[in-house]
Formats: sequence, structure tokens, C-alpha cells
Amino acid sequence: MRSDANAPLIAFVCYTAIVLGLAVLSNYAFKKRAFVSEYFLGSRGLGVIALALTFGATSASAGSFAGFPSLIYAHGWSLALWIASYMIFPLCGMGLLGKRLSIVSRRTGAITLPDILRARFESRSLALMSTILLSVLLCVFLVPQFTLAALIMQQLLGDSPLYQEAALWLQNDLPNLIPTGTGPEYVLGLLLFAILVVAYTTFGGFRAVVWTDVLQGFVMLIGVLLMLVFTLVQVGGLRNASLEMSSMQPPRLGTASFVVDSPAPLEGIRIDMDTWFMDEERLFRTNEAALIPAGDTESAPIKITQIVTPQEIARITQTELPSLPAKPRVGQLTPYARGDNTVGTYMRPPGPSPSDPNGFLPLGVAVSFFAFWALAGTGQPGNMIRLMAFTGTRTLRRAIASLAVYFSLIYFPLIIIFCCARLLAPGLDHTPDRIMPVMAYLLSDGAGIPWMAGILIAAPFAAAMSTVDSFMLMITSSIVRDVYQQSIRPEATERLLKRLSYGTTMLVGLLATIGALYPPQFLQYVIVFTGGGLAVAFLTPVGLGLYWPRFNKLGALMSMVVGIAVYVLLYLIGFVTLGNASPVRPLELDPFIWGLLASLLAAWLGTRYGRSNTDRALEAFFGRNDHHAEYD
Amino acid sequence: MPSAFRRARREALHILIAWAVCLVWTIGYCAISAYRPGDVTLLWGMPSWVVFGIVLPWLSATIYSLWFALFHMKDGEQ
Repeated sequence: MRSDANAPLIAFVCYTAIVLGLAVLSNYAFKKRAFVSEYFLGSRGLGVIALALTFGATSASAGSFAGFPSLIYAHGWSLALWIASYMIFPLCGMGLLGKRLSIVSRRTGAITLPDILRARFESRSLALMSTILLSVLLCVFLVPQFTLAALIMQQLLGDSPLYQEAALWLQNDLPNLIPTGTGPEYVLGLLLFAILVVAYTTFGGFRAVVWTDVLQGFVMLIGVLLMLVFTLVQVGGLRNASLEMSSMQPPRLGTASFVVDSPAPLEGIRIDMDTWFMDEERLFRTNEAALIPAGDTESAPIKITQIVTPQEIARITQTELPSLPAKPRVGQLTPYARGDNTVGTYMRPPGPSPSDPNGFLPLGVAVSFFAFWALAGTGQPGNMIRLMAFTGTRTLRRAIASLAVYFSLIYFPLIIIFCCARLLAPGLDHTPDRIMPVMAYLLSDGAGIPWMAGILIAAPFAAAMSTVDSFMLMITSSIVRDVYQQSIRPEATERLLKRLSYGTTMLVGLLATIGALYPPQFLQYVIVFTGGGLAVAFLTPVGLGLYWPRFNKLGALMSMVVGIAVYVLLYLIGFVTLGNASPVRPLELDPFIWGLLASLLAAWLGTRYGRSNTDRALEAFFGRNDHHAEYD
Repeated sequence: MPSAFRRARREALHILIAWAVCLVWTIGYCAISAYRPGDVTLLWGMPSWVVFGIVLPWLSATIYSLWFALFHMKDGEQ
């Protein structure tokens, strides 16, 4: 066990205390203000730092600090191209819609996105449809986010003796809470995360979410910059790391079991995860722990990685490898579908891939992602809501500038850090999702300051929380404001709305927790699918609604329905024909691009054949002179 | 003097053009340079295609974003 095994737990406890403190302060702050506007929009009072960091932290979900590093580790420098459109995302994400959304939401008193659509098109059916779409897609989105967060918690806190004791207690005293297919460590991580997020979101509302986002934004930035410095020092400079990387070939992935001649003793025989071993002159690393149970002579097969690059083998075997208490029996090894026996494949796109013969990033996919990050990010309702909550355009302008610098300091350093991780932590290719915590420990140990691991691993906590809290609040606002207050009981009192909001936020958190107890397969696909779906459904109606006076109710309805239909259809065809969760990609372009194009075409057709807008709606959005000039 | 709406629309158009320029620069350069087989040369410790295809457009986009937000974009109604 590590000497600093409790460092992440201590970091987590400190972090929890600060987050809950912020929620209490926020609750105190909104006692004197109108509840609905304060709870869902912070009374439109966001300043520069708050707007920039809440926007940045909400965009950087758990994927940025778990999925993205693992992709860099697995595919190398190609990820620089994959993420490249973040160079322009702050300007697109905030600048395209920000100014107009802020102005019209103030003029119309809109608090939610369906409020904006209702005011613009004077249509309850459109508002209701957008509410349903928003709630359903966000609920689906929350489940994999909770699942990822639980996995992060399990990975980060799993070494702590206190955490292990609590997991054991859960297993012995509440076994019914642990569904088949999960373990007590996972369920404990899920419960801790869920209780914390639900508590501060429910109690503190939008303002607490924003304040914690600001804290989380700083934690992420400090974590990444510290990791960058430690990494570059420990690999001897970026040039040295790149030279080593350019000689690398992808490893081979396989399984192995461990055998002994006589039955194992009572405590069993354990071979730890990440153990190096040789077999017939070949170098391997275990990616899971193996256990030979008492009385048995063989372990169950575990995942292993074979290192095949001669320079890497020479470097790793310079130090003496540990002697094993059992003999390895290596099973079949699978070469990479692209990149096997190819030197330098980590240095350029399309990059190596264990499963796809076209590589990780064919050119068409690179084009898709360039559009996806910038445009789909702009169309995310979570981001749009933040653009209705700041104090004025001057705040927006400064927040765009701040976020442009912030994202440059986060995303490009992440690429450098986790490319270098191939040198510092080789052989984790079967379980690359662990690379973030592994690097946090490795770097802080290497720097001689083990407690620093606690600070470094706070970044993924922060990223997961800052996304989930915003989405929970959006679902609540959809249900309480758009369904209950607007459609069922417009005369509802503040007190009733407050109780209903608290109850709904807790219920949403509970449902997401139950969903995550039975984690869905294809987590990353569910996240990409729902994120793209939200953008396809809302980018065109909101964007054209803000900038095109002629755009009418039929155009908005058709753009929403046709866009989402094309998007879902491409996923369904992929599911039926390819037999997995991958969509079909005509011309290698992502379904998001096709959905968006279909949505724009439908918007134009609907506007051409639909009824004109009323003067009242147009004047609220465009002013008296402008909408007449546009029609003339 | 253009109205606030027209000014906002023109700014949005400028942003879309900036996005398209970044797309053409990044994807165009990488398509020609990074996807072509051959040895990868290093510059500033990185593959040279990363420097010319990602780092330089990223720096340019950041500088443009700062200029656009701080000096070009006009304040609307508060």
C-alpha cells in the first residue's frame, strides 16, 4: 500500500467542505431575492470571472480529465488535431449567441431556453416540445456522467484504507445495494458523489453551482499547470520525449493467467496490477490484479500489455524486474488493427487503433470534430443558459477573452502531459482510463512531494461535479418553470415553487444515481450521442430565432424535428447494420453535421411555407425598425 | 449608425468566418502535411505539423479572440 494512500481522501474531504460551505453561503444570498430568477439564473448577476469559469468548467466534463487523457495516451499527437477547434470555441461558444441571448432574455423575462422559444414564436407546443426534448436528453446524459464520476472516485480513492473499510462495510451490511456487475468500491464512489452533488445543487441553486464552478475552474487550471511542469522535468524536456515517442510501436494486448505447482495458501496468491514480468524473452505488464484463490493453482485470466519497442524494452529492463510468486501463462495476443509494427505511428494522424484499420482519426472524422466541438458546444443548452445570466455585454466581452486564454492553458498542456505519459507510465494500454490518477501519483512521487497527488487528482473531481450540477439544475428548471409554472399553475407561490424545485433536484439526482447503479454500456457513445442531439435540436431554432426575423414557428418546429430525426436515424442505422453503438458516417462525417444541415434546410423550408410572425414577438426580439426593414 | 441587432448579427458573421478560417488552416495544413507518409520532423520539441497546423493557428485564434472581444465587439444594452 502507498504511504500517501490517504492523500486523495484528505483532498476530497477538504474539497467537500469548501463546496458545501459555498452552497450554504449561496442559500443565504438568495433568501432576499425572487426565488425562481435567483435559483435558476442567479438573478442574472454573473461577473467576468464567474461567467468565464462557469462556462469553461461546465464545458470541461468528466471526459476532459478522464476520457481525453486516456485518448491522448492511446493515440498520441493525433489528439492535437482532434481537439483543435477549442482554439476558436470560446469565441464561437460565447460570442455567437451571447449578446443576443442576454438582451432578449432580459427584454422578455425569459429564465429558461423554452422561455426564449415561447417568447420568440408565441407557441406553447414548441416550448413544450423543447422542454420534453431537453429533459429527456439531459436525463440520459446524466447517467453516464454519474457513472464516470463513480469510476473516477473509485480510481482516486480506492487505495485509501478508510475507503476500503467503508466499501467492505457496504458489502457486508448492505449487500442489496450492490447490483450484479458492479462492486462495493464503485457503489461507494457513486453514493459519495451523488450525495455531495445533490446536496449542494439542491441547497444552493444556480449561484452555488456557479461559485463551485469557479472554484473547480481554478482547481483544474492549477492541477494541469503543475502536472505540465512536473512532467517536462521528469521526461527531460519535450524534445527528448518526442524523440522517444517517435521510435515507439503500438503494444500488443492480451490476457494471461498465473499458475503455481502446489495449491495456494489460505490468503491466496496475489500478483498486483501494473507488475512487469518477462515470458519467453517478451516483456509484459499486468493491467489488472491477479489472484489465485486458496487451494487453487491458477488465477482467472487478467488483461496484460506486451511492450514491443526495443528501446522501451531496454529502458524498462535496465532496472531489475520483480520476481513473481507464480508462473505466467500468456494467452493470445492481439496486434493493433492499425499501427502494428509501425514506428512513429504515435507522431501523426490518423494514429494507431487497436480496433479500426483506418486508424483513430481519419481526415473526415477530423473535419467532423472541428465542427463538433465549436458548433455543438455553442448549441449546448447548458452553455446557452449561462449566456442569459451575466450582468452586461462588457462582462461577456471580457469573459470571452479570459476563456480564450484559459482553454489554451488547459487543453494544449493536457496533450503534452499525456503524450509524455507514454514514457513515464508505459504498458497501461489495456486500461488507459487510469492514466490520470496514475500520472498524478507518479509525478508527485517523482517530485518528492507525495501529498501533491491530492491536489492533482482534485481536477477530475472538479470536472465531473461542475458538469453534473448544471445539468441537474436545467432539468429542474424545465420541469418546475416550463411545465408546472407556465402550463399547469401560473399562479403558484414562491414558497411552493421553492419546495417543488428542491424536491425535483433531489429526485433527478436520485434517478440518475439509480440509473448509474446499472451502468450502461458504451458510456462515451451515450455522452457523445446526447451532447450532439442537444446541439442538433437547439442550435438552429435558437440561433436563427435570434438573428433571422423571418424565421417562424413552422421553421423552428421543422428544424427541431427533422434535425433530431436525421441524427437519431444515422445512429439507428449504425446500430442495426454495424451491430454496435457506432453511427453510420456518410462521407466520414459525424451524424451531428448531417443533423445540423438537415435542421437548417428544414428551417428554411418551414419558414418559406409557414405563417409570418406577429409584430409583438418581433419587436421584443429585433426592435421596431429592424424587423420591418428585414421584411421589406 | 447600425442598430444593436444589425451590429450583433455582423459580429456573429465575423465569428463564423473566423471559425471557417481556422478550419481551413488547421485541416488544410494537416491534410497536406500530417497525413502524408514520411519522417516526422521536430520543431520546439513537437512534430512540425503540430506547430504549423495547430499551435500557430491556436495562437492566432487566441489573439484574434482577444482583439475581437476587447476592442472590436461593441457593448449592447445593459
